[in-house]
Amino acid sequence: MKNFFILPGLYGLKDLNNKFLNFILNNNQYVMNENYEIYGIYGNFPNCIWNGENGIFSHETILNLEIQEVISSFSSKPINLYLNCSNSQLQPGMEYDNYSNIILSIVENNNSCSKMVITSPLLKNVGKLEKVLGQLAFISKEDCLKATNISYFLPPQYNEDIDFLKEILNKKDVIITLNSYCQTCKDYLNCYQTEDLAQTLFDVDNFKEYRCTQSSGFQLNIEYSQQIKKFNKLGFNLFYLDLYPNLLENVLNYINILIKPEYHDLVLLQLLN
Amino acid sequence: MIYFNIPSLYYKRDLFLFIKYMEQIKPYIFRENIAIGSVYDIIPYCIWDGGRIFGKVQQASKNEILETKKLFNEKYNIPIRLIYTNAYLQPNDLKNTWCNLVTTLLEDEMNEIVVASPLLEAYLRQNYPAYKIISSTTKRLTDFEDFKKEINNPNYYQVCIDYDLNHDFEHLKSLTQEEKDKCEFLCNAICFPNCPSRKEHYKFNAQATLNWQNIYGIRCYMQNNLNTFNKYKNHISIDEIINTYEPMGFSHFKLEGRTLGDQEVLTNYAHYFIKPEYQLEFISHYHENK
Repeated sequence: MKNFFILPGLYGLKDLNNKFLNFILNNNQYVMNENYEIYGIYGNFPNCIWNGENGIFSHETILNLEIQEVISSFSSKPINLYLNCSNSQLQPGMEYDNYSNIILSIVENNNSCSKMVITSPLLKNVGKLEKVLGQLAFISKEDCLKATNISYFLPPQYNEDIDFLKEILNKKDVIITLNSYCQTCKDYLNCYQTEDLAQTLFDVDNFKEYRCTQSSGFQLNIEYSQQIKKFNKLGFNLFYLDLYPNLLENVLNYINILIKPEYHDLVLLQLLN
Repeated sequence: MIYFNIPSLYYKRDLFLFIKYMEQIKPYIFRENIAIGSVYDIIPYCIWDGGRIFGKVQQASKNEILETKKLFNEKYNIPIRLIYTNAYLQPNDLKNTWCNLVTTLLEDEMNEIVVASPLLEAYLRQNYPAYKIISSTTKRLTDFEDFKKEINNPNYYQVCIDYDLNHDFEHLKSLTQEEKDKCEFLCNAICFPNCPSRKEHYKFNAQATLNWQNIYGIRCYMQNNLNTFNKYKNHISIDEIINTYEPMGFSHFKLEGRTLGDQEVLTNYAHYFIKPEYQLEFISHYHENK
C-alpha cells in the first residue's frame, strides 16, 4: 500500500520543505521508505486570523508578493497545499477578513489542487478549494463517523482506539497525525481553542499563556514504521507530520519517519547544510 | 498656542520620545507657544489606511496597542490620531478584524480619526462614537467653497485644508474664527504643488493596501528632496506660522513624515519646534545618544 504524507509549516518551514522536496525529487526518491510519497504541505502565513491550532504571530506580516513567491515555490512541485483555515473561534464577519482572503485567492490561483482545512462553519462556503475538516471540527467519535463524504484530520487522541478506527468508513480520506505533539494530552482541546482565540485577537501573550502539559514533545525512539503498518492494516494511508516548535525537531521527524535508516545521515547533512 | 500634529504614533515613536526627553532636560531650546496637538499614523497593518503603502514594518500585537494608548493618552496626555483615509473600502472591509481591534482598543474621547471614505465614516460614527472625526486632505477639495462647506459640517472636529490652498490668504482671511479653529494646514507636503497625479496616487495606494502590496506603479512628480524647506510654493515655514497664520487666528498645523526618513523628520521637528540657535544642538544630541 502506498503511504502519503503531508508536511507541516507552509511558511514557517518553507526553506526546510523546499530543500527537502528539491532533494527528494531530484532523483533521490530512493532514500525514502518504500512506497512513501510526499503528498502535501499544511499551514498558513503569520498573522492570518483563519489559522488554527497553532497560533502564528510575526512582527513582519507577509505581503502579497512574498506570499505568491512561497506558494509558487511549492506549486511547481507535484504536491497539494493544505491551507490551514482551521481556527475554531471565528466570529461572524471574520470570513471576510481581507488578508485571509488574499492568501486564499493566491493559493487558488496558483494551485487548483489545494485544499482548505476548516473548522468553523463560517468558512464552509468561502473560496473554491475543496474543504477538509480540521481536528477541532470533531467533538466526539460520532462526529467523525458521520463525516463520510469529506476528508478530515482525525483527532489524534483516537489514534490508539483500534475498535473505533475499524468503524470509520472513508479511511482513505482520513488524515492521521502520526507524531502528534498533543496526542496524550487531555487538555489539548482547551489549549487549541485558547490559541485560536488569541490568533484572532493578535493576543500574542496568550499564545504562551496556556502551559503545555505535554512534557514529552519530540521523541526519538518511536518506531513509526510499525505504527504506519498498523494503520495500513486498518486501511489508512494518509498521514500528517505534526509541526514541532524547533526546526531541528522537525528535521529529525522527517528523517525518522520518512527516510530509510541507512540514509539518515545523508539526508540530515543535506537538510542541515 | 500653535499645535502641531506629528507623524510619530508608531514608526517614528522614538522621535516623539526624544522630543519629550529634550523638553525635560533642555526646555529653553524650544520655541514658546508651541505644543504637540496629536501624534498620528496607523498601527500596521490597517487596511483602512490608504495614504501610504505598507512597507516592511512591524506588526503590532494586542498588548503593544494597549501600551501605545497608555504611553500617549495616559502618560503624556496627547491624543492619538488614526489615519483611516482609504477611500476605496467595500462594505466587507468594514468588518476587518484587525482594524476593528485597533479601533476598539484605542477608543477614547481624546482620540481622533482622519477619514476620507463616507462609508467608513458612517461606520465609525455608529460603532466608535467616542472618536473625534477629521476630514482628510486626500479628498482633494481644491475649490475653496467646497472646503468651506466641509469645514462648516458640524460633524467634523477638524478639516485638513488641501495644501494647494495653503496661501490663499484672500479666502483664508474671510473665515470666521470658529472656522479657523477647525482648519488644519499641512506645512511640509512632499507632494508636488498642483500635482495632477495626487488623487490617482492615493487611489493606487488605497488599492495596493487592500491587496497587501508594497509596489509603486504610478508616476510620482515628487522631486527627490531630502530637504523640503522652501522647495514648494505650498510649503509653510515656522516664520510664516508665527508671523502670518497665528496672527490671523489659525493654530493647527500638520507635519508630514510617515514615509520620510528619520533624519528628514528630525530636521523638520528642529525647524518647527526649536529656536534657530539650538537646532543643530537638538539634531546632534539625537544622533549622539541614539
